[in-house]
Order: sequence, then structure tokens, then C-alpha cells
Amino acid sequence: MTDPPFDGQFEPQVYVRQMAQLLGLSLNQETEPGVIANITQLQTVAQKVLDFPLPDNLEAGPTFEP
Amino acid sequence: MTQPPDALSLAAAIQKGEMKAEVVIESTLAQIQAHNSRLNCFTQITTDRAIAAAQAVDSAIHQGDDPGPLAGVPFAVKNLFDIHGIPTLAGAKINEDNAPANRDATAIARLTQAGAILVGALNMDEYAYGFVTINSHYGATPNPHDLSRMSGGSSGGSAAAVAAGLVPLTLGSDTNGSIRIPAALCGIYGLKPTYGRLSRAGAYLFAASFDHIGPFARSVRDLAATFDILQGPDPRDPICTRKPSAPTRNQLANGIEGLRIAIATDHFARGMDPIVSAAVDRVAQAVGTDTTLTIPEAARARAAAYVITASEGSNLHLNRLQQRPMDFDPATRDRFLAGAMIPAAWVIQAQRFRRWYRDRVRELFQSVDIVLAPTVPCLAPALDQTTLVIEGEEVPLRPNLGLYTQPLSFIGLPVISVPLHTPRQLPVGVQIIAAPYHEAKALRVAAYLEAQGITQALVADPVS
Repeated sequence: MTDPPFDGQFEPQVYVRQMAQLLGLSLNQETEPGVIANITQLQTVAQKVLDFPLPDNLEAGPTFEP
Repeated sequence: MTQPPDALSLAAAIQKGEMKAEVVIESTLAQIQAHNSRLNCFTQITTDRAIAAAQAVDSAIHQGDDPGPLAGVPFAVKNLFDIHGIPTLAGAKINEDNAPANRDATAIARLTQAGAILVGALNMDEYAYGFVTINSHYGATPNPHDLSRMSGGSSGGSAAAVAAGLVPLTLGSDTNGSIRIPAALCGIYGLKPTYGRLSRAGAYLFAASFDHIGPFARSVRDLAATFDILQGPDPRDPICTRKPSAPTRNQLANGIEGLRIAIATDHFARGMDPIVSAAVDRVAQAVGTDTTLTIPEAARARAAAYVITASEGSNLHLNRLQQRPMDFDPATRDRFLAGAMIPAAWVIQAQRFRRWYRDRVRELFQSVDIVLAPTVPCLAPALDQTTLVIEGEEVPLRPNLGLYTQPLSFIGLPVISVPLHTPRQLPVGVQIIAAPYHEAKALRVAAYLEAQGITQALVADPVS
């Protein structure tokens, strides 16, 4: 038996609670609404970057000198 | 009020024996003591160290030794710079528990070597994550020109201390605008050099991809002299350039002849208060340009800077977010927590976009030397202001103070914010932007504007 395909919307509350678990962060009533608001804002902002097509051969700028 | 001397005038008077360094420093410390409760610039005052250093300068002069080009000049630093013997706060209560720094930051050491005298550390937004210098632990640093308004941030203490006339010279840091924004709102000169040009060793990081340090001053020659002293390689900072130092002070008198100057349009021409727009026009007119230039995808650059900053800043503080989240300033805590949760794909894409954008801007600098843009879209906002109207739309104030600064620090361009004052109005700033490693060209334009009387850094009267 396989799980049904997930086709729901992004749920920021679920995401931040799961990520907090993964990262060892504690959220509470005081912090969770602000974190949700910020991750939602970050998603909107990041989408502007993700929407911009870049060629595959374009490396990130930072350099590392061994 | 009478305008106090700039750093180089003060140093000249001390070198000639017209003033004693100890007298200058005692007077400076007395001014700080008298006014800091209202101005809230200083979080630490290094009295003993300052007096000992002043006596050493006076003694060197008495013996005929060279005390250095900044002999006896009092200076102060944003409290993210390591000061030997003091924990480095970086605006955070959490950091009060850290061990005292075991040496000075490279920038402090170089200024000290040049004869300048450290008098203290200055207020900032917690961990530099803000443009306002409103700090829940150490209070707000108000604007010396109007104490009901913001000084800007995150280096607000550094800008306000100079604008109030407490010291002629300070150091700050700029990740997304944190030198240029407070310089503009407080009406003084601020230089954010090329990324990697000045050593950040001993300066507490925020988002290392974009972190810069730089000086605030009331004259362009002070800015240039300080920049020249701070230059030079430093193995303690992995991104500090190995290019040879490029002295700038000796170029200030070269004027603007031969410089191709353009006005940034598009993103940089929208959304500002008419007073800010008029300031850009005044500068453009003074340098004789009406050429415009579009920096492509500047809004997207700002978005990418936002994502990388949130992610890198949060990573730096991850263990503190895990262990002591409620000890953070509420103004930074939720942003840091959310930043820790950013998918890697967003950050890597933003870094790749940074390279694309850098290549386009490099191309633009083939045909121009200097680009002009506003620094901040508005005059200093009220301390309790939370929104701003940009192009008819009400938007959150705090992030939008970086509207015009963020797309430039994103690729490490050298920028000076120059101050324009109009009677009975708060000051505004205009950015003089150069190609990487061409600080001298930006300083030449700033010196020209200063000589023409277009820009000046007026000290607010701290007594009024």
C-alpha cells in the first residue's frame, strides 16, 4: 500500500514546527507567530531569486583557498 | 553652534604642541559623561586606557618622536569590535557572558598605532541585524539632530557619536547598509569600502558574505586618512585582500575631471521622499551630469541579499538560538529563528545569482566611473514609526530603510554616503558608488562636493 499523493498547500506552521524539531529549536507562543510570518516573507522574497533563470555553468561567487 | 575641528585638524594642533592630547581626551570623556544619558551612543567608556594613551602621545611629542598622523584623536567603535580586556557585546546581552577579548581588533590596533585614542564602544542593533539601533537590552540611540527620531543602524551609535560632536571619528560595520544608512540619517560621511578591502579580524561577524567595516567622519579628508591607515593585508581575516594598499588621501585634490559620472535610475529612482530626490539632483548638478544608468535586477539583488543574510546570520547564532532563544532581542529573534529554517537551495541560488549580478555591474563600470544614488528613501523616521509609504504603498519601515543600500553591498562595491543639509530639515544622504577597489574615485567626488559646499557634516548641538 502506498501513501496517497500529497497535493496540499505549503503550511508554514507545520514547516516551522518540523524544522524546529530537526534543528533542535524550541518555539513557543511568543515566538512561533513571528517565525511563521518571517518564513512566509522569506518564501516570497526567495521566489524572486528562484524565478530568475541562470545558466548551469554559473558558479556561486565565493571562493575557498585550500 | 561652532563646528568642532575634524580629526586631522585636531591631530595637527596636538602635533604642534598647541593642545595636549590629555586635555583633549579629558574634555572628550567629560562630554561623553555629560551627554550620553540622553544620546545613548556609548555602551562602554574606556577611560583608563584613553588617559594612559593620551599621556603616551604627549610624552612622545615631548621627546620629539612622531606620534602618528592621528596623534591624540579620540575615536570610538561599534561594540562589535574586539577591545582588549572587554567582552565584545555585538549588541547582545548574551555576549556579556563571553570572555574579555584578548587583543584589539585589527582596525583598532591600526588606528592606535597611528596615534588615535580609543574612548569607548558604541550602541548597535543586536548582532547587527537591523537598520534602526533600537536595542531591547541597551536602549535606542536617537538621532542627535532630533532626539525623537531614529539614528539609523545598525551602526547607529557610531554615526550619532560623530553627529553629536562627541568624537570626530568612529568605526562601524556594513552588511546591507549599516554604515551608509545611519551616516545619511545623522548627516555625516560614512565609507563602506570594497568587500575584503579592510580587515574584519576581531570584528564580530553577522553575514560573512557581505560583512564590511568602515569609518564615519565629519570631513572627507578624515575618511580618506582613516581608510588609508586601515588598509593592508591581514592573515587573520580570510577575505582580506592581498592587493597592495592604494592610498587615497593624496588624490583628494585631483577633483572630478575625467571621471564619468552617472545617476542610477530604475530601482534607485523610485519610492523616495521628494527631499531625498532633490538631494540626488543637487549632487548630480554639482558634478555636471545628467547621464542615467540602469543597474539591472537591483530589486532581485536585494531579495538575494535578504535570503543569504538571514541564512548566514542564523547559522552563526544557531547554538545560541537552541540554548537561549529568549535572551535574544525580540526584534532579531524571530528573524534569526526563521532564517535557520531556510532551504539550502534558496541560499545557493541566491549566491549564484550574486555572481550573475556582479558580472553585469562589472560591465557597467566599463563605461562609467561613479554612480550616484540615494542612500535612504526617507528622512530620519520617528523612533516609534513602523511603516513607510513607498510609491503609494504602505510597507514595513525597518527592512525598507535598506532599499537602496542592499543591492550594492550585495556585490561589495565601495560606497560613500555624503550628507546634505537644508535649513530646518533633517539631513539626507546620497551614495557615491565606485567600481571595486576604486575608493579613491568616490573620495575624489566626495571631496569635490564638500569643497563646493554641496555636502557638509553639521554637528548637532548636544546641549540643546
